[in-house]
Amino acid sequence: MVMLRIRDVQYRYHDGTHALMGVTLDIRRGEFLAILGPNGSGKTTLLKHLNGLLKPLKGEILLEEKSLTQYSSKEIFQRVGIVFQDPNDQLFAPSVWEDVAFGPMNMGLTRDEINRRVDKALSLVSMTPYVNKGVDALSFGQKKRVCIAGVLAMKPNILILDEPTCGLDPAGVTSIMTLLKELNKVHGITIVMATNAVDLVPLYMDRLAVMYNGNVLMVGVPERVFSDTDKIRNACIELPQIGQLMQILRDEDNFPMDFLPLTIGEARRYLMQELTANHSLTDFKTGH
Amino acid sequence: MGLIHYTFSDSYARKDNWLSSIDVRVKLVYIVSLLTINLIAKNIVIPVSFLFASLSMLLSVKVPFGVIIRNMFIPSTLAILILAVKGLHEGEKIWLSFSIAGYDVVLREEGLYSGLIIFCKVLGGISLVIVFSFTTTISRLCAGLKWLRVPETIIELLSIIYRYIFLFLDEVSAMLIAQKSRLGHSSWKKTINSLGVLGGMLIIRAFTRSERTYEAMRARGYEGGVMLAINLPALKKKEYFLVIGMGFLLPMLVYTGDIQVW
Repeated sequence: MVMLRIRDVQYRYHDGTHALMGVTLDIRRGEFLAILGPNGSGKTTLLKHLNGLLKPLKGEILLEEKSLTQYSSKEIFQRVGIVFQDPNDQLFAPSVWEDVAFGPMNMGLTRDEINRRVDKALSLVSMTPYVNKGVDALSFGQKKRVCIAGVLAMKPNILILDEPTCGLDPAGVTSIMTLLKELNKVHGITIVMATNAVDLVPLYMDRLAVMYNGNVLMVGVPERVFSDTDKIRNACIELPQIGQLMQILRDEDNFPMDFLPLTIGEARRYLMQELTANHSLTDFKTGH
Repeated sequence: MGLIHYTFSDSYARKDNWLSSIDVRVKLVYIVSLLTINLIAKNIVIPVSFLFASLSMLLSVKVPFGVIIRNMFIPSTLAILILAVKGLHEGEKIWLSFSIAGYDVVLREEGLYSGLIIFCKVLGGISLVIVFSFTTTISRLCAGLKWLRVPETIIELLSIIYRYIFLFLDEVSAMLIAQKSRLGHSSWKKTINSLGVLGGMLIIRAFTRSERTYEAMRARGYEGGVMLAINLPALKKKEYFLVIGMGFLLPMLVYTGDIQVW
């Protein structure tokens, strides 16, 4: 079922920059969708349209088959949560507890319900031990988690994230992505994530939409989208690193491949299969 | 966290000790009363007593002495300046005169006395404020101010200013380093120029960040009003005793402060 429909949305900033040139995209309930594109492709602008922060110049956005204009701001913000790129832009309370409680307080919930939601949200992001800590004392990765908790406490149907892995170390990236995957698969939250970290897409996302110059060029599962290497290159995006290696093996070293492996696991399975089929592995092991 | 964060943030207030456990309302009433008494005192006994009492309290909750000194540095420097100016220019009776590099330095008794009272009042007052700030988190302060019926807009502003002042200090630090590494502070003239650029950039960045922050606040349902989340618990028995104790302590302090010692 389609949760958000984006229909031919165009947007121009005050300085004349055409950020969106007519974007059409469907976001399905329960999926983990990546919006992939280089800097300046319109990803952030598109995300800000999804919860009504920006209004399109032309086109429309439908939330559960109803135009966003027919919802009140409060309804939209409660259903569509957004986590921005810089955690310092959205941590404005002195302590972790107060910041996460900010959204539920604005929803007019009772104190008991606020406490419950804050505890639940913080436990989902594994930040319960930091509940009374000052926001200034948190590391960058911890701030990102608290930002996510602050939105989760409002119990949104859709969680939108703008480059949540930006500025994180590799362990931090894995940690955040594992958390998002769990929120999607275990808790059923639809997630839309803008990123230019190509390697993450085949590992964590169900579908991706490639943006370039304010347009959506391709939409589909990672295997199908990344198989069109020319279009990927035209969008100024690289394949995932494993995909690049396998592409070179296929195109220049004539390795036979029905599909292009995009992850370490896929590449390993494919190579082991090929080596075993050709008895090369046995030969290798016995030294012949 | 940098030195400024460490010195001025409420990290000490988040620690559990006998001072931080006292209700903020009791502390606010005490601090306002004691600051008023400090201000109206006519001798140095009261401010100096406040200074020593505050230092003792802070050391008892294990606040490092160096941190206390850092917090008091700027006001103390201003107080010493006032003492010097008053001692050199106010009054007629000469207390001490000497010569430095051909210049006559004359310290006058009346000026020194009034300067000393101001000096002690500054130290006494600032030490009381430091005790309060090191034992009360900003959240509790905002809750206490709300109880005191301070306008909500002011409390909201206070909360946001506190949160973002450290962030902007970090930005200033980053810009300063960037300027220095590009020889922006290699001479006095360049320093003044660079600081002017920094100031202008800071204003622009403040506006840009405020827009982004407002977007984030709107996206979480903010429609204006106080962002207060702390509920103050009912007063405990010891706090009632402290409040009752004020009834005896404050008149004594007012009387003591009224005595002309000198």
